[in-house]
Amino acid sequence: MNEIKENIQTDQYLVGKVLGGEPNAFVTVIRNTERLVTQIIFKMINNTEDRKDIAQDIYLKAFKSLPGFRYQSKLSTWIAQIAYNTCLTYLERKKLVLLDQNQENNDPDEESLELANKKSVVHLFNSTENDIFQRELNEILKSEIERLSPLHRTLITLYHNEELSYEEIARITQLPEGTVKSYLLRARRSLKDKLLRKYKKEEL
Amino acid sequence: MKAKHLSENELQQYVSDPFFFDESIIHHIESCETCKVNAKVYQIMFAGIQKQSKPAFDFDLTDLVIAQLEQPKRSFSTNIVVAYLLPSTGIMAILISCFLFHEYFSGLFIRYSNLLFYLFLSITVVVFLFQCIEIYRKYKKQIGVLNIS
Repeated sequence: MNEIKENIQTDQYLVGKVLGGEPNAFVTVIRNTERLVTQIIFKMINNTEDRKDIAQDIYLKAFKSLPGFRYQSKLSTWIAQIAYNTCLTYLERKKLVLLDQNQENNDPDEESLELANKKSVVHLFNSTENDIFQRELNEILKSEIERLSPLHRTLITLYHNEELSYEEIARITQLPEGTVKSYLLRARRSLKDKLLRKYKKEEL
Repeated sequence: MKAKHLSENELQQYVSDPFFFDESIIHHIESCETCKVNAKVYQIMFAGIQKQSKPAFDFDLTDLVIAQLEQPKRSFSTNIVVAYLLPSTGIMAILISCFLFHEYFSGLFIRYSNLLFYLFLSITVVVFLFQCIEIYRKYKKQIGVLNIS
């Protein structure tokens, strides 16, 4: 509760300064939110050149809309929502798919990913080769996350990497909380299956 | 204790929720090798995602954005002058007109017929209503734009 109050006070202070004509305050706003916004852009947009334009566009939109910010959420969540919407508009304009369920449902069934295969992953994790395995796992995870749909990629990152709550993610994506949970369930399952399939292939 | 294997949902909840406490599920995982291994795989995966490096731009986003921001439009002193000068001028104009034409005003309700007076009144009310509707419509539109962006 205190943390929320503190956040609102900090946000009010910063927004007040920006609206009072102090550009330095907006620098602080950018610095405070840049990490989250960058995560969203990188997860939703593949084109490196377009990412730069989108990032600028997001903050210019935020600056223009700042007088309308009503403190109904954290300032960072509000800017993340602008980031998500801007990326969404970009995907729609480029006719790119936000969520390709067919592609992710092509994964093998649970039965085909045998227990032995899973055990080998767990065993590797506990073994003395832990460091090597960790690095390898991180690389595989990175590439498998990249293969997920933009929406699944974003949800996985916001929840596990940025440690946002379901409520915050729902606010950012403007999806019902239940839908966010259900998409996350599918995304994690898909990622787990892909990960195990990858290990199975490498063993062969 | 649950006899069937745990669902993906239950497994994910068990691994990701630190306050998870469902005895039947906990007991099942302790005794079922398949579910234990499944939970462990999820655990490894979640830890792996958490350790993923954060992406960063190879340029200074702050500099780029700040360079494009418009200078604050309003200067404090101009705003104050406008805020006080306009209403005062309006009030002064009304007072001066009242003083100069007070004789005509007093005759307004006596000389002209009721029909003319009600016509004038209804036009004023209609114009005022339209103005209110327009202001409300604009307000809703702007709020809508903010909500979307």
